Amino acid sequence: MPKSKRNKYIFVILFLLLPLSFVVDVFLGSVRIPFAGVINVLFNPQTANPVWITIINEFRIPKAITAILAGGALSVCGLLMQTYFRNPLAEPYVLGISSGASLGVALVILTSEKIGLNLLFAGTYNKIGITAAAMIGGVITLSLVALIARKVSSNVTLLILGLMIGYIIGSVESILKYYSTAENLQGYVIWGMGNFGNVIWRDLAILVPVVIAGLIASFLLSKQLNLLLLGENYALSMGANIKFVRLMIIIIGGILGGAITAFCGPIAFVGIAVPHITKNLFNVYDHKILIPSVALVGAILALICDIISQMPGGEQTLPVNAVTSLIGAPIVIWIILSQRKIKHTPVDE
Amino acid sequence: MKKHPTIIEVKNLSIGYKEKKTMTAVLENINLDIHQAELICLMGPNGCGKSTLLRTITGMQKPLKGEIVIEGKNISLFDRQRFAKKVGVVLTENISVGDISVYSLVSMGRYPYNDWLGTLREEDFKVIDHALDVTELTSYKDKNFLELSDGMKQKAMIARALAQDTPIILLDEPTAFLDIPSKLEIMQMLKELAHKFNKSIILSSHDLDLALQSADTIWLITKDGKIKVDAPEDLVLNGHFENAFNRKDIKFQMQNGIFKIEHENKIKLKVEGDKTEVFWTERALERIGISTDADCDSNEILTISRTDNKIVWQFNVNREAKIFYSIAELLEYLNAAKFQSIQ
Repeated sequence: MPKSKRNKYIFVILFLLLPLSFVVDVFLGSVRIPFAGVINVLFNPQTANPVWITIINEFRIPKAITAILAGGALSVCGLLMQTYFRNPLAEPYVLGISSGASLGVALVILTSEKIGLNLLFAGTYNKIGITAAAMIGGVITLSLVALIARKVSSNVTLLILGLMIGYIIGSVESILKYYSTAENLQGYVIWGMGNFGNVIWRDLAILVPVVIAGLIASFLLSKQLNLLLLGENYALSMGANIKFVRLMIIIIGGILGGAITAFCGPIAFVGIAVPHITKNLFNVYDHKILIPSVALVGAILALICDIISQMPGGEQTLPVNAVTSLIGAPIVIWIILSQRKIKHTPVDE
Repeated sequence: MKKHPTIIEVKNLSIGYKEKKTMTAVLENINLDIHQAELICLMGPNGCGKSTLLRTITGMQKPLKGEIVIEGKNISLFDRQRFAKKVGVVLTENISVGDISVYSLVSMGRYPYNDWLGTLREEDFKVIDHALDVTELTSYKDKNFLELSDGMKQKAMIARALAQDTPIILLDEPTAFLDIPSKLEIMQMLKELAHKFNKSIILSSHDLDLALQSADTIWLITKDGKIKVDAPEDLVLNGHFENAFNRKDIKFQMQNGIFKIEHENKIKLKVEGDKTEVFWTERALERIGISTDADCDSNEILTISRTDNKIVWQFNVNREAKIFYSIAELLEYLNAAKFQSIQ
């Protein structure tokens, strides 16, 4: 079949693109390191400049790995949301998972010891606690949205609901911010712009297993997710355990979205853009193929966004969120304009 | 005809909605038997509970009272997977999956049988091919589902239910929104599935004509919330159809099984000519409120004749003859004449 052959080629290209963008991402940064220097650090560390070794080993490589994890996790999270809500516009950021997660983080830090938000970024705080809080925040928000979503039938209404929940959470956050110090506030604002660079090796020890577990769990659900595409009633009639699947999606989605938010801050639009790009690339519905592909495309896109955010070349880097929004928001507009599906929404009885 | 064994028994069933503590029953005390190789058509006026009954039998909705027994076992005791091997459904919901081929859609019917990844085995391929073959979709199997016509989509959904290989298939309004040839095709197909492959098929429909032509049994929900079960023709002759559907101005005609808009026919005409032409001319006249009567002694006679493949209507009134070359012309004249006569 020509389609599956074409898909294989695309997959191979993507597979080559991933290490390529990883290397480019490691190569670029606010401190200029020549290409030979990077190679030296990677393959011949004895003779390399020790400052460069620190920069590359302690900052750039963890950052690039984080970008891969964040891109993969958020994209798969977005795919799960889109299948769950049968809504091409659903994703963790728009549905308020990211805000729920960040509220969880803020609450933990402010209520325990009242030390301030900046400890989140300093890395001295117990990251396991923060990650757990973020994941719980994500799961709770997502359950809330899912609960309300049962009452609405329109795709766009769901998004408005998600945004409203996001606002409510945001205002709670503002109140928390109001009571925090200027220093913490600054840290919080920077965190809110999204950043892959705050993650150190020790954090990856938490992030890597969480993301991998989430991705594997999503993959295990792929048959049930396929059934959900036909709508709840058809899925039921074909033997799907709807309650279980829904619960699992909410937990996995909340965990993936929450964990990434805890470490990188809310990152917009990756979750919505990547599943669409992937579906257009591969023309498939099957989650067995979609989940690994979406994770791969998400990882590459996040790396590219990170590369772009360092493009100015100087010492300044752009906030990742600005880049992801710049790429993602037009895709959302394109989906709204181009897809008939949005106009007539499937109505579940 | 020897009755096939019973496959579903509905006992003392009450259906409806439960909201908090108030129960709203739509239908009560239903007792029904469904046999193998039986095509059942569920009919009744809008809002009488057809969908609720189907949803309850498919286990999507809990009954308020009573039980549904499939092959001797209450449906509430089935786990979803096992139940999915007994009852397949075709619903009115739109499917909005992007990029799914007909083949993939039909192969999803095998999900209750295959492993957690949905891997298709030799046996699955056979069942899918058979389902595509029976529904005449084999040449469309690589087409995108969303690009099919409504009739083809419905067939694909039926093929998917067939791939599910269930002895029972329930369909909610499978012929709604289809053009007439597609309606007939679908019904013919369902009839064949029931009789040739021993499936028990229950479908709800508004198409009386279609149901009368194809169903073995009709479940007719009457205005007072009872279900009449009988062969279609018996329900006609017993007058149950008339009772269920008659409304002001619209009457069920027992002699030919169709609904007619009742006009107050004041003007009567006598029509003579070839049988087919007389039939359609009479229909046209009926439409503008003129009734025809072959035995009436009216001096107004409409004669239809055919010369050189042309049909000519000759209308004799008061020894004056008017010639028309189409029904439209005839109706135009009669409408004007009717208007004058009223004045």
